[in-house]
This record gives sequence, C-alpha cells and structure tokens, in this order.
Amino acid sequence: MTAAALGRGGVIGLVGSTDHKRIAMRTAVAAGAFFAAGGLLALLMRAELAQPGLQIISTGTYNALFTMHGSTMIYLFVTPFALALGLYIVPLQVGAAEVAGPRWALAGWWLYVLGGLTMYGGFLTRGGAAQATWVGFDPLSNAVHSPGEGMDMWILGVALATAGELLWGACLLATVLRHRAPHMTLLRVPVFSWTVLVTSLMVLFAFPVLIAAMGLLWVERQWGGVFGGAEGPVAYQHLFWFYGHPVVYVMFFPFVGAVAETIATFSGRRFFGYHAMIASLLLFTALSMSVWAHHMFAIDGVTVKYFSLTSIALVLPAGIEYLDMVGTLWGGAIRLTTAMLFALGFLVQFLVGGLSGIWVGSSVLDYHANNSYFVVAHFHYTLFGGSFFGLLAAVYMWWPKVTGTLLREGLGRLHFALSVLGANLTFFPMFFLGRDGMTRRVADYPESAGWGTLNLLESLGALCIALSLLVFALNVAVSLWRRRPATDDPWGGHTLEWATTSPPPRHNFTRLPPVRSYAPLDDLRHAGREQPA
Amino acid sequence: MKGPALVLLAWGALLGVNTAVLIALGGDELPVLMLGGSAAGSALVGLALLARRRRREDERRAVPDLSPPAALAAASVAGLVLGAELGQWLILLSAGGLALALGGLLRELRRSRQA
Amino acid sequence: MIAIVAADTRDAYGDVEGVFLPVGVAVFVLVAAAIVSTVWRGRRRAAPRERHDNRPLEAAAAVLLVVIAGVLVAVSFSAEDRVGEARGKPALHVRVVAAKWRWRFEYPGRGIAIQGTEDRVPTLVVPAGADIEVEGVSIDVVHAFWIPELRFQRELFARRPTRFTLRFERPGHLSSPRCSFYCGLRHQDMRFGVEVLAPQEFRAWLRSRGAGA
Repeated sequence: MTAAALGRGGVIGLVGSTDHKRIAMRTAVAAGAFFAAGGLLALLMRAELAQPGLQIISTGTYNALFTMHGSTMIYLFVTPFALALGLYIVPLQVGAAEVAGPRWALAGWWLYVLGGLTMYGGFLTRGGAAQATWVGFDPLSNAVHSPGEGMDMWILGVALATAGELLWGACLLATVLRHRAPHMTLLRVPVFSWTVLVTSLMVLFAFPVLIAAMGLLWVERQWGGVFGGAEGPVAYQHLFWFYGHPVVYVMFFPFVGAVAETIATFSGRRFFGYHAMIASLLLFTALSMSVWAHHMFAIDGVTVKYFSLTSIALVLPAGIEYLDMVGTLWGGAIRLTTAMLFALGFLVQFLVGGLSGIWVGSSVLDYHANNSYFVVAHFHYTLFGGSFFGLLAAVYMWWPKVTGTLLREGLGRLHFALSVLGANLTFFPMFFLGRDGMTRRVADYPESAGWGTLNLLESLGALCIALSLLVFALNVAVSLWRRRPATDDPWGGHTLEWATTSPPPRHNFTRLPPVRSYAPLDDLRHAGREQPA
Repeated sequence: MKGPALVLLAWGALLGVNTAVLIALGGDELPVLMLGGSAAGSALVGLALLARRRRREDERRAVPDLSPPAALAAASVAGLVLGAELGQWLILLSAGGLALALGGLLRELRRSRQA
Repeated sequence: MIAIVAADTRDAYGDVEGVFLPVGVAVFVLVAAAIVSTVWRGRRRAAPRERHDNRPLEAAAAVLLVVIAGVLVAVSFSAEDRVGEARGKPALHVRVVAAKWRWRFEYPGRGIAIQGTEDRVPTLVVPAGADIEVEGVSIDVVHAFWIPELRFQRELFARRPTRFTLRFERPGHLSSPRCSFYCGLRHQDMRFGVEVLAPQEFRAWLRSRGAGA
C-alpha cells in the first residue's frame, strides 16, 4: 500500500507521478490529514461550549478556530476528497487507461496542497489565523477590520486550493465525456461516474467565481475601491454564495453516487431507475446553481421569492433519487457489510439534513433560523451525517480495489455504531438550541439561557465521534499490518473497476469486458447463468 | 460528439430557464449576470463539442509516467501568488521556476510526438 | 428595493411551521420506514428481484413531489406576502444603529437615544399592540438585528438602510435579542433587551425621557 502510494521512482514519483490513482491517493491522504486538523479544532470548540462561561480559550482564539474549522472541512477536506474519489474511480468505471489531462491533475494536486498549507500558515503570523469565517464576509475581511497577514494567507490559500480543484473538475469532465470504453454510451456510464460528471459541471462554472471573489478581496485589502460602495458587502455575498452553494453539492454528489453503487452491490441487483436518476442529477445540479441567495434571505432587497422557489423545488430531484435508492433495496438480497451500513446511515441522516434544508428554504422560517444553531444542525446533518457517511461507505467498499487488502468487518461495525451515536448526539440537539435563539459563531452563551445541558450533550457527542475515528484508524492500521489479500472482485460488483486486479495496473486494464449497460459485470453474470451447463 | 454536447446543452437550457424565471421575478443585475453567464457558458461548451470530432485512442498524445515539469509549473504558480504576500524574491524565483517548467513541458510534448 | 416588512412575523412563522413541520416529520417517518423495512425483508431473501425500472412509478412520484413542493411554496409565499404587507401609519419610528459591538436606539423627532455601554446592554422601549417602523443601519461591518421571540432578523449595512415594521403584541421584557451576523471579536456580547410597555406607560416613559430634549 505504501509502495502503491509512493509509486515508482521514490521521491520523484511522489512529486511528479501522472498516474491518476496515485494522485488520487495522495490527495485522499492529504485531505485526511487536514480532516484530522479540522476535527481537532472542532473538539476544542466543543470543549469550550460544553458549559457557559469562557473556560479554555479566549474569544479571539475561538473565532480563529471556527473560521479554520469550516475552511478546512470545506476547502481542504470534503471537496478535494470527493474529487479525488472521482479521480481514482471514474477512469476505471468508464474503462479508460488514464484520466484526461494527467499533467493538469498533477498540477491540481500541487495547487491544492500548497493552498492548504498557505491557509494554515496564517497560524504562524503575528495576528494569528484568519478570523472572518469560512466565507470571509466583507467588510469584516477588509484591511480595516481584519488587518494582518493571517487574513491575506487565507485569501491566497483559498484561491490556490480552489484553482487546483477546478483543474480536477476539468479533467474529470473530459474523462467522462471523451475517454469512455468502446460501446460505453453516456447512458451506459455508471451512476457514480454520472454523479462526478454533474459535479464537475458545477466545479467548472462556480469555482472560477470564488477565485475571482478572492482576487477582488485581495485588491480591496491592498488598494480599496472594490467593495467600498453601499452595495459592496451585498455584492460580495452574491459572488461568494454563487460558489458557496454549489460547493456543498460538489461535496454531496460523488458520495451519493458512491452510496448508489454500494446499495446496488450489496443488494445484489443493479441500480433502480437509472434514467430517472440521470435526469434528476441534471435537474438537481442546475437547481443547485440557482439557489444561492437563500443564504441572503435576511438582506433587504434580495429576490426572496425566486430563491425560495428554487430551494423548495429541490424536493423533486431529491425525492426521485430517494425513490431510486429504495427501489434498489426493494427486492434485493441484502448484505449488511460495513460499507452497506454506512450507505444506509447516509440515506437516513441525509434525509434529516435535506428536510431541514427545505425548512430553511422557506424565507419566513429562515428569518428566524438564519445564522442560528438550527442551520448549524442542518448543514452538519447533510455534510457529516450525509457526505461523511457516504465517504466512509466509499472507503469501505473501494478499499480492497485500491489497496489489495480487506478492512476488518468487526471493527467496521463498531466504527459505524459509534459514528451513528456520535453524529446524532452532537447535531440533533442543535435544532432545538437554534429554535430557542442560540446564534452561531459564539464562544460563549449566557447561563440564564438554559442551554448548558444540550451543549454538554453535544460536546459528549463530539467525543464519541472522535472515538469512532480512532476505531477507524485502528481498522486501517490492523488491515495494513495483518494483511488479508483481496481478490479482483470481493463483493460481486457491477461496474468495470471490479474487472481488473486489486490494485489495478498502471494503465488500469489488460482486457476490457463487453459493455452493454451501466452494469456490465452484472450482465456477464446473467449471461453466465443462462449458459447451458 | 453528440452525447457530450447534448449534456452541456441540456444543462445550459435548464440554467437558462432558471435565469428567465429569475428575471421574471425581478432579479438584480449581478445574480442575473452570474446565472445567465453560466447558462450561456454551458451552451457554448456544448456547441463547441458539437463542432469537434472525436479523437481516436491512438491519436492521443502519450503522457510520460512522471512529469516533474508539471509539478514545478504548479508550484511556481503558487509561488507567484504567494510572492504577492511574502515578497518580490519569491515572485522572481517562481517566475524562473515557471520558465524552467514550461521549457520542460515543451520538451515532453515534443518527445511524445516523436514517439 | 426597500421592502416595508410588517409585523405579523411571529404569526406568519407559526403558520408556515404548522405545515412544514408535520410534512417534514411525515416524510421522514415514511422514507425511513421504507428503508428499514426493505432492508429487513431483504436480509432473508436469497435471490434478488430482477426488475430495475418502473416508469409509471417514477412519473407518479414526480407528480406527487411537484404537488408537495407546490403546497410548500404556496404556504411560504403567502406568509412572505403577509410579512411584507404594507400597513397603515406606524405609531412609532425607531432608528437602530449597530456598531462593533454595541447597539444604539434613537427615537427621531423626540431627541431620545439609548446606547449600550461596556457593562450594560441597551434596552429598546416600545409600546405594545402598535406598528413600529424601524430603520436599521450599521456604522462598520455587517451586523444583524435578531429578535427570536418575533421570529425575525435583518442584516444591517453601512450606507444602506434597512427598513422593516415590527409589532409586539403583549407587554413584557425580552432578553434574547442579539446580533446574529458574525461581526468580530465580541460578537457574542452584542445583545440588547426589549421592554414592551402598555401604551399608557409608554407615553409616560416618552414624557420622562423627552424632558432632556
């Protein structure tokens, strides 16, 4: 596994390999390291919030913690991991020997890593790391209100990491559109690769706007004159959220695709409602580009009804996708492997996140919920209960393919149980705190508010999450130390990545099976059953 | 390139419909520009894909297993950006690195065409 | 651009919540039950079913989802219209000024100003059962004026006044109002109180304060 990660050529390989699998694995490892850092920041935050009163850290430190926690999780963990999952699996699923534009993908890795390190470099500056939230709202983020290099490092780091992610999006789009195996029409591309396709559409059109916003913020800080007018701060929010909403779907779709593959594989039947799923993916992502100002309902003058309409309209594609998931489970021969457990957990928990999202899609409900712990609960259910569980499903399912070994199922179940307990204990009470009037981004709250008990429960939940991750780390360590070799296709998969060795050779396939549908290996299995004995 | 073009055109059309509704409900300039721009951009990419012929597998340029110039190019771009904060020395160093990297990339491209 | 947002905020919120909450809970219970039951039955199944498509079902589901979305949008839009309804002449004008990290309330034309200090948050004094027109502005970064009891907040900007109308139905003291838009180091301390007085008591208060005009 280490050899596969480092690749041929030692250090030069580490620096310059154009193999999409190695680039993807390096990104996953780096993203995992950033996740650990971002998670530690969260634990510190929860430690402070466990009881009213400032016990552990100062207000300024807390503000840097939540800024860097959010920034890390979004710019440096979930987004790059989602794209890296695509970089590894998509060329395999579409039967390609390589990703499109391998050198661009390599360049993307370098921009991402250097961007992330730059952001964290802010901690080393005199004024400390940025404290203006993961959004960097103007005028708070301008030179008057956020003097100091930490904010500058944040801006440059975000721009660089996003540029790297943009390159990956372009590579992935080109791979699915132009590098498919013979006879793999677009309507035979597997569900996961389709989710990566629509993800890269959003990356292509939304991510450049963030880079532009960061550039403009930079200019504002050096010379002024950009956001200084009366409409400046509102314009910044429009520019930012035009990226800021699609990015949460970039962090969602590849994992819903992974969950779809997991559900199909461990139900023993191909994914249900493929065509409806594709149509809903296109509608879902087009809508996701059109909802952004629901983050701005509380601003006088925003076209509230439009953004409320598009936000609530999301129930249509989301509902179709859930129908297809349940339709795949229905009549399946279910195997509750760890991957399947995390996929099922994703379905139930993301539902909570999604429904609470429809809630705040109503402008009137959002006039109360905006910037409260209700919203914090909503997006942690979608991102943690949802995307992160989907990420773990992907890891448990594709681990044998990537490493050639098997993760332990016993430890996997323990990991799952602790994750479910931790996630819900931490985030469910937040709905009630928010409705009761607790606002976000505060290091402390009044004792008289009576929020101490729920906050304590949430902090215990966070410890439970940390424990679950230690179990996962143990599983990884045991699996790599006491290796159990994996075959090409340990699960009975449906798609082409299971038709090659574990791990795959440098150019992925020595021989491609025939492609007649979005589940070519399932087709082969059926044909085999129909053969005379 | 009909299938891929169709995807981009369809997505562009969906965004176009969303833009039209935004205008009808009284959207401001910046939102309309961003959403409409994405719609138009997607449609343009779709049209470009219609015009292109699909490259055959063997016509594709061979990419070397290792490409240190690509890595150096990316690191140099990062250095140029960071130099705005950390100082002119970094900008100069990165410009040099970028020049070296571009040279290396040109050599790689020439070598792959000869192969 | 200037929306006069009227006072029915708590009622409007309640009406929307009264639809969104049951619908949300019902959808969750139904879908979660579907997931659990299909998994439960599938555990004992040896061979999976073959059918992997059902166009009529998808079409029916799509129609149902459009109807649900339509109902939710209609309920929300109707409440939004009520919240944005222009009402008659307001009984009182108040100017809210937000700054890092304190509030200031001015009563134009009466020469009254209430400002928070380092140790004490300011209290906005208002009459019960009357429309109060508020003009809010910031003198630095973006802040937000949030009164949880009214289920209502608005972002405040420098050089871009925000206007809305509030209505407090009953006398009493509100201690939960606060800034809800992160504004820097002491954002968490940027709170204020609201004292709602019966109309006569409010007039008496005005007289006692106005004496210093």
